[in-house]
Amino acid sequence: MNKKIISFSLIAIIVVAGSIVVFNLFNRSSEKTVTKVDAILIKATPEEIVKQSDGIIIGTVESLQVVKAPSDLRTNEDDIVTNANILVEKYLFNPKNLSLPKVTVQTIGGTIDNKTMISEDSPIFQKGEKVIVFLHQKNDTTFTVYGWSQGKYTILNDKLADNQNERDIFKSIFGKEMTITEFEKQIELLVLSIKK
Amino acid sequence: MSLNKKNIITKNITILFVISIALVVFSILTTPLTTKAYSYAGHKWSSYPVSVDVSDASFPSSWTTALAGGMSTWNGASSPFYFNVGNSGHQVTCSNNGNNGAPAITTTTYSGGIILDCDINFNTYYSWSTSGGSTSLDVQSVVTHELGHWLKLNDLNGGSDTEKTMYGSIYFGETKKRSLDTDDLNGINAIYP
Repeated sequence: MNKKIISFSLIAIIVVAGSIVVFNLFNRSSEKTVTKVDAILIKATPEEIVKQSDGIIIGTVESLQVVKAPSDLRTNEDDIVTNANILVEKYLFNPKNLSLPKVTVQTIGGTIDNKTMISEDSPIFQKGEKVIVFLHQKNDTTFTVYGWSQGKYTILNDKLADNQNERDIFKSIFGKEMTITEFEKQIELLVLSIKK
Repeated sequence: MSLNKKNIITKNITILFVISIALVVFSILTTPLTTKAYSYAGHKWSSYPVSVDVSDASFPSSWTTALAGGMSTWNGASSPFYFNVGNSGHQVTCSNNGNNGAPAITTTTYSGGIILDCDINFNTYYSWSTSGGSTSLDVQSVVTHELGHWLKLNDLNGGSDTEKTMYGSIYFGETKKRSLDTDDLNGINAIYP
């Protein structure tokens, strides 16, 4: 009796394990089409990233929409982009005298039907996330992130950059990790030096 | 417990152990390789050479030598993979995308782990040079970096990665990405052994 139970259990385990392997192989072979975008970025310095941006905001991501947009990168293709609608809490730098209470920041990435677009160089916004964004104005109300991954940082518990990649990038530009208060002070000084 | 029962249990435990090891090995082999020295995106070309198509009218003919230099650099690795020039549809184009901080972009389309298409777009908002001008971006350095993306090497942003061709950012006048670091070479040699 015991021998039968053990044999049956063994067969069941092999069937389950085999099914998992076959399922994974099938999923790999029928994987949907993915377009990956890799950008080389101009190495930002603290002065240049401030000077070249069209504004620096602190805000909270209210909502996200994935849409198709005409591609700047490829002929006869649309890009899949995510529009992050951000409620602006404060403009840290506002050379264009923007008075928008909300801005839409467009980044590469998203899925529509069976097509996915991804980019490790493009910042990712999360709903409810508090962020600092260096803006590049695309039209009246729509922006992209100036410097791609160099221009967006999550604010968590009064600290900037909450993952290793963001921290690496932030440190490579500003030299050290900072609290939001320290960062605001740094931006204030940089803006003053730019105006001189 | 009888000796016979003990033998059956021991045999079954051994079989289960072998199956577990096989599943672990399978999982490791099918997981994209990521190391600190180089980073591989996990998909690749099914065959090579891969032809770079420079037939688009926007590509300046004066950049041909710089492009060839970038291809030769990767072709010089011990890996059997190599690039050549041809009308493949894997295009190099130029357009003015404004001051967005990204002078060049590679787009790669793949399915089931196999690359179907790769293109490079240069942003002509920025000033470019083929001779290392200090206020311009170096075409050959950027081509070499972007062709690394065609191999599916990812950008690196760590403090110890700054000398590598696959470091994710570049200064005006910088030419060091023209030659490969040991980790860049290890990347291509591992992806296409």
